[in-house]
Amino acid sequence: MTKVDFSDITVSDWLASHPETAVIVAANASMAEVAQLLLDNNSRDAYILNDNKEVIGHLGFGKMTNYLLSEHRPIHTHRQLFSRIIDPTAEEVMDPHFAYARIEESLCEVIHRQLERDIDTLIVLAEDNSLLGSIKLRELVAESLK
Amino acid sequence: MQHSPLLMLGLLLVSALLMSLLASRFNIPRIAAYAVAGMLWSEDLLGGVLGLDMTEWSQALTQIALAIIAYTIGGSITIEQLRRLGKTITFCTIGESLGAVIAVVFMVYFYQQNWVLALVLGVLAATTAPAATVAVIHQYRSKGPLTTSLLGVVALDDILGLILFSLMMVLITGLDLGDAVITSGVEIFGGVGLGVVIGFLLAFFGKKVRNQSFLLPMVLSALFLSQGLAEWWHISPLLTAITIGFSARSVYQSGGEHLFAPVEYLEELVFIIFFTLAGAHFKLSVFLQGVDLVIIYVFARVIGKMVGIRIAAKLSQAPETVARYLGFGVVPQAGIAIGLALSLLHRPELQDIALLVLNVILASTLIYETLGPFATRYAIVKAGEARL
Repeated sequence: MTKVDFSDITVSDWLASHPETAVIVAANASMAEVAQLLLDNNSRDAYILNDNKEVIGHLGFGKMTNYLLSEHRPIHTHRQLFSRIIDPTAEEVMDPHFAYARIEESLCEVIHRQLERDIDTLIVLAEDNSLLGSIKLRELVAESLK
Repeated sequence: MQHSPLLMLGLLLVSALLMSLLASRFNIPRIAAYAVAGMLWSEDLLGGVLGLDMTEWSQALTQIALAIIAYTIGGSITIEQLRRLGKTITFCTIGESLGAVIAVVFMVYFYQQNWVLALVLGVLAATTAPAATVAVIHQYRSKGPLTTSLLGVVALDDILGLILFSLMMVLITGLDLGDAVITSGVEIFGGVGLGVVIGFLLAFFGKKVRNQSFLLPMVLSALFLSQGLAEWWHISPLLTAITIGFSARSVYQSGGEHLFAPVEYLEELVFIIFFTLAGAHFKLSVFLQGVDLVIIYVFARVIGKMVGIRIAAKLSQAPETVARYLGFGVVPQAGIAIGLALSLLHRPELQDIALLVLNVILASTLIYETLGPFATRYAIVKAGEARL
């Protein structure tokens, strides 16, 4: 049981007290570049930005690894075979239907979304889909234990 | 004696799994184990003793299993990826597929004087089995231009093979109805049209679904519906399924995990069904009648693929190692060819040859799956891409 009532806290309040950002990659980044950024930032979630600075997709560590290390797997589907030889970009592999939060939402709504999608770093987007910040699951857990 | 289809299917699947466990202890390919498990229940063995008839109830099962494979293969690549595959892979795929088709058609026709038999076996020769090739490449940690081309070709030729088979079936049905142009047009464009519509709807609703566990039922529902409509409207069910996959992937725009990964988990089950059903339709008398045809098919297909690749490699100015050794890597043939051959059993216009074709494909598959990995190994070793 958590001692904090997350329904009283809005995303906006949370960002004010926990200013976090997310790992952002360009749409044409290779899997190796995404992997390096995720390792450098100790994160499992990368978000893909288009030329207009809008977030257009999400790429998780597990999915990225599947592409990056595909040659070490003895079994491939046809889809995996093509991806292996084509060397896909972040935009081709990302999930364009990703979870995000809006500034006016309450944290309890957001936590459900984050747990359902198994996302460590959930981004907060403005109306124009530009990045405002992120909510880290690790910090939510830490807050709940206070 | 009337037996429940579920009982027969259960017996097939359980015996296949037990047989594959046994086969893995002796390093025997698992597809051979599946086929042998099916043979146990064939008319010449237990099936005859117990009076089992697999043909009647297996039609719907074969059709939906083929639709699942066609859907995953159709959605395996996007137009952009196809463009980036490069000239060598595209040319070599077309070369080896058409080379095999032409060689088998002419050799079989020369021997049997039967155009329909020659055409059916010829088109079935186009497909390969990526699983065996990938396993060998992985085992020897192979890397290089030949390896890359090989991986691309064995994946791409299955798409081409499925399309060629669909067109061949349309042609044969059209000829049978005596109105080839109109019937063929309806079958082809109807199939593509229905596939585009269902694929678009699938991607559209796929975007709305939050609960991941809905995705598999959603895709399967779409495939069931598409196959039913294709049958009702007399349009090509295979072209419909391929187009659903292709258009859903294009509209959904991602690596395809959501709409394809759940269905890809069913591939092994589909191949068990194909091989056990094919094994259950094994008939010694038909096989003995077609032994010479097996030999012709096996050699003509390999020769056709090798010659086709040599020509295509020259046209695309491929590296010398690709031109010389790629042909050895495309020998294996397995599940897709078996599934396509099984589907012939339920076509009235092919009743005279369907069982013969299935037995020829089953026997040749066992040969290819045994010799194929050695041929692939030879290719990557000679090209200097294997780590020994």
